[in-house]
Amino acid sequence: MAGSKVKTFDCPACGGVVSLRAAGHSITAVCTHCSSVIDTANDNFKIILKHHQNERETDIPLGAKGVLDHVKWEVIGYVEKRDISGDAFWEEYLLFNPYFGFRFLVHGDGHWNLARVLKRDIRVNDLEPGVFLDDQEFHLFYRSTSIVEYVKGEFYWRVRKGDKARYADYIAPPRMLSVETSKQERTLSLSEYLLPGEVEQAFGVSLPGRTGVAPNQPPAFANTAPRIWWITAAALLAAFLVQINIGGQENILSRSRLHIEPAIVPKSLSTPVFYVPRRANLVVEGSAPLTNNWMDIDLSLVNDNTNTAYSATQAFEFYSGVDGGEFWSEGSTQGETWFSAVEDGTYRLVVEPSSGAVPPEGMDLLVQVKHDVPIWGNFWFIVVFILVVPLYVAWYRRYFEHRRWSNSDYAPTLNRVQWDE
Amino acid sequence: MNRVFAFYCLLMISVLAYANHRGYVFSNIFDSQSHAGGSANHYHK
Repeated sequence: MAGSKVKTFDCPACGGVVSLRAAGHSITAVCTHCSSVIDTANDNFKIILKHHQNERETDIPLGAKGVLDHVKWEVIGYVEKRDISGDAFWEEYLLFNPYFGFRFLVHGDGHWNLARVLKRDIRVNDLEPGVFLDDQEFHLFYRSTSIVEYVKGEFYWRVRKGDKARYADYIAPPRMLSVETSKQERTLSLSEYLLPGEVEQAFGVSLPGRTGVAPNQPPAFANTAPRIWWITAAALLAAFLVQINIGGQENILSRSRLHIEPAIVPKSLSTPVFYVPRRANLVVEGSAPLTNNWMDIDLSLVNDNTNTAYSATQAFEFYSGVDGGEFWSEGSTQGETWFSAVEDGTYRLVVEPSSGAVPPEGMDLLVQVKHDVPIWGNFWFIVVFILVVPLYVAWYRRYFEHRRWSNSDYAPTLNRVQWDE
Repeated sequence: MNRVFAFYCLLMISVLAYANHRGYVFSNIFDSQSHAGGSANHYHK
């Protein structure tokens, strides 16, 4: 890194060589050999805290360099912290660039944030669930006390294991405002959510996968949601216009009255031939004067030229009576059968009816054949297929926000989750 | 994602237009009992 000079000195505790990557900026360094905390504000290198603990491996090693936010950073320090309740654990990598200063790369549960300390102060009221920064509202997400678990590298402030600070995180995804208050000072830092892949690519390392939803993780389908309902509305309108313009010009091809005789074995009856002018759907409507009776009809739509047949069945039943002085009925005396994509040609309809009881004088079955009937079922079918996408997006966004706020004691009502986030 | 969804909607509308023009009835495709689909068998009676 241009302008970055590494200064070394011997650890006064163990004699190991300690490197200072931000010499002149760092006032605390942790010996990588014995973990003793050393005052580096001047060349006396006094021991602040003596330790004898082994150095831990970190996902990103000290000295690693990588480009984030168009700036090349070097990792010079590492702090492990946990919430005093034990519910949360996170790591903070201190990044340094001699021209741009310091940044924090914060990691927890596989989620990463690039944070910078704000040089200005803002009004924070502990009794209010939010704060404003640059006219943007940040919602309180978590408030607790952190404790330093482990440190290594060098730092521009005094830090050692066991340091405690009160902190509060306010979120406006993908940003998070953290307010940390220690005995000495109050620090405000602004974080921006990073995808793990960005950090991996920047530092050339392999990182653990994400678990759960981070406080300031961008909302699911963040770029999709605002416009998806407009696209849906346009698509439904277009589908409706298609339906009424290419939905069929209904016309009746045949009307027949077929007389059913009482018989043990169902007898085949045939309608006169009719002409199907072009390939389209056909609808066969059958009706019979049923009274507490049922009817099953085997239908065969036979092409008179090729002798090929489209087969289907139609069933309907009608029951009625008086119960407790009230008339009741159920079923219908009519049935309807759709034939899909019938080729043009000359046809007759062969019907083979069977019924629960045919009166001795017989029964008339009325059969009507319609051609090219508008199929609204097709329209509703497509409507469902179109709506399933935005409905899934809407459901998943609520589910995502529910998971996010399940980690917080300050969850707003989900109605506050706006589509135009 | 929005472009993909817009393309998907166009595809669905095209399917509707084609099906209506060719006389396909979607519900018949899933109705295994009616056998009133587009395929025709030879008539034996």
